[in-house]
Amino acid sequence: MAESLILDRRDQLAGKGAMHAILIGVSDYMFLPPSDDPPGEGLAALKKLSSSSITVAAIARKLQELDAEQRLARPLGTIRLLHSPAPEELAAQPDLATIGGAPAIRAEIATALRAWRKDVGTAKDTQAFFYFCGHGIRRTLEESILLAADFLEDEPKLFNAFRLSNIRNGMVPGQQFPDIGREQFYFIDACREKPDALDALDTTETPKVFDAELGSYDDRKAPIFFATTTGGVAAGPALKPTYFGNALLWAMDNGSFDKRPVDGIAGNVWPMTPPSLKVGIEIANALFDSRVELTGLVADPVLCFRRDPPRLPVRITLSPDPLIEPVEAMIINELNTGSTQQITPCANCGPFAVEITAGMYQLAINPASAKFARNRSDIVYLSIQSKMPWTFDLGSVP
Amino acid sequence: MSDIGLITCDAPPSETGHGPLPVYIRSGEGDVIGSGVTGTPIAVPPGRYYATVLLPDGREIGAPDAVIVASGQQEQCVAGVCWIASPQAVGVAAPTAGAAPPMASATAVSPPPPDGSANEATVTLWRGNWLALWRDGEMHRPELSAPGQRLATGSPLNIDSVGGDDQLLALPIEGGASPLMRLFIVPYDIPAGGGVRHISAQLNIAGGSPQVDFRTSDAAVNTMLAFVEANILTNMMRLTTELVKQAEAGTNVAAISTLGTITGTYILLRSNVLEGVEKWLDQVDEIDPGQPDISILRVEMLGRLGRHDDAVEFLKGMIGGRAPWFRAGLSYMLERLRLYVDVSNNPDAPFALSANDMDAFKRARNALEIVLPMMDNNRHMATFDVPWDIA
Repeated sequence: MAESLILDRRDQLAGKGAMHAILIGVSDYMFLPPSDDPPGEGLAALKKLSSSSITVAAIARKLQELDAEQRLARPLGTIRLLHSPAPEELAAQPDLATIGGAPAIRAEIATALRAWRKDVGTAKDTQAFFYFCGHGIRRTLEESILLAADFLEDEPKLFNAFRLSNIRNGMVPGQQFPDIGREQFYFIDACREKPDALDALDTTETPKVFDAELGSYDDRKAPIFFATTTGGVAAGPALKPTYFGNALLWAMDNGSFDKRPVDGIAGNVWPMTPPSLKVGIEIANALFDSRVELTGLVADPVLCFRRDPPRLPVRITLSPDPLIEPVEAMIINELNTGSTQQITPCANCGPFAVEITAGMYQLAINPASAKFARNRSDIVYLSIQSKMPWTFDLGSVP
Repeated sequence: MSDIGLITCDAPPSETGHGPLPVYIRSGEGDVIGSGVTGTPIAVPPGRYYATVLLPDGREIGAPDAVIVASGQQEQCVAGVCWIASPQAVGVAAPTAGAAPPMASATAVSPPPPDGSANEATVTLWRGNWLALWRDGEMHRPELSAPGQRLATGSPLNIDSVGGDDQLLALPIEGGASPLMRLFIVPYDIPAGGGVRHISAQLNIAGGSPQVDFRTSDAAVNTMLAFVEANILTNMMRLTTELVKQAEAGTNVAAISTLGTITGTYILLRSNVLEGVEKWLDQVDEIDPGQPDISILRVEMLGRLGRHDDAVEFLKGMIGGRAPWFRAGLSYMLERLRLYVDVSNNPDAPFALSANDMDAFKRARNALEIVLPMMDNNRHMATFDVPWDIA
């Protein structure tokens, strides 16, 4: 067995709540055809991928970066990396060969998951982080079958695969791990289609990683993020992080609603919680509008945070067009620092895109003629949940 | 002399049709100092603050100026929209490359502006046990009586519920790759003081493809439903917290509205807040015994509390009966059936399933495994797209 641990600070953090991450990225499916080959029969219609390993490596770097900046809700205790990069990924990012970790075959994944659970099981205030990037098959709403790199090696066909629900149920507080970490984040960056070939199988069961156990009092905060809704396809550009992975990286920096106190963190901060991360992902990439599915025991656990206001894109529209020409300038005034941005509008060229930081804002319209007076808007709070474009009806300006 | 002041904020004049809306009080630096809902005083230390009201569409509107509150004083503010209009639903360009997010090359997929012909649809109401339509591994198409009823935007259809039957609203969807029937599970509400089980169905074409939203006669419940549809749990919890406060003050929450209480309970479970849930369920059960979401919420709550033997008993009672209205309820039901079938052979399982029970659990599980993939995951009330050429 190879060593999946690429970061291990368990000794340093003994007795402290830590984050334990397991990142699984499968591009080089050993028994699937290359992406440019004609599709195979049945389940072999799936093909090799070319961005999963790059994605999980980027997530690993982001976790370490946030940890170095002391912006994770828990210090980073371990990272287990299981990845099977495509040759072209290795060519594009040679450090994938040296980053460490174990191949993402089923046996290695199962071993690593059991070790990960043991680490998370050491204390209630540990935090679990699970990220899978690769092929997935829809089972039902909260369930996916996740395919390891040696999928289709032999029969039964779904032997080298595992069920998400088996992982989640295995992480429940119970007899075996009564003190398991109560905050658990699951990210499934995989398709949720159901290939027709699945109907031809006599069973869609997969071997278990964990024995089924009934929980005691399940007081977990355990959100699951699916990169796509049931039946949808998760995708990514070749040799770059997947769309979902890339959007999550942005959301881990900017996906926060507001500044507030958070237990265990000194001073008020901008926390990234499951609901705000979801909105952040959807803001980061228009492809995700209403497509990211956030389910499970969602609650409000904090994954990471920042101390300064996050960035967000704002789009502003003036209407109606005939009234835009008399507008000389539109001034966006941030009320805390007094900083301003000025936009010169023109008819038929909106919406006007600007990047701001979250906060309280007021807009002023400077007229170019006496058609209307200088005016200002009400004070508004702009954050990632503000719907865009922000439309100004010049017709109602006095 | 008190060391706090109070700020009460009201909704913008153009938004008074809502029930209570979330209010946030922030310092000049943007720190959230207090939060609550419109019309209710929020305690804050003396200071200068910005108060904003969060609307269901995500706009957070403030008063024209900061609010200064002194110790022991009460300040009132009214958020206003002045000349800021609502976000447009029509197509807009994606952010430019200079904007923050990394995927600047992605194209915003905006629905085309709805044309006049899409402003109305013909819908058909069907009464019965809709989950029983899915049996023997397939869906048995319900017989829809013709002609249907006209449902137009801005002209809601009032639906009463009689007897113990649940109802489906069927809306044909044409123009896609293959014809579909969109089936909406129709809820009902029993408002404060009891009365007729009633709901209002509204055609919603804002997203391009026609949907039906359900609204009650209670503004507070409708506001909660609107926030649930916006799907940001943080905001849903802000409203549900007010319901929790009322319950803590001794109010029978179900007497406010059964649908509001059921919706609030789903929000609590989504946040895994279990305290007080059993009492809420008892209260709704008393007003509307047999309502199916109460049963599945109870099963889920008991399961999470580790009371699996009780959960299994309630689950047995659900099989073959009415099915939950909410998507989350159907999902809870499937996951519980799966888990309990899975562990029933464990020697330490705290319950025993007879051969008949096991058979019934497996049949129910298999039926739900066919049903759930057809469900629209963006809708909180169960909605299915069913190919309409099914025999």
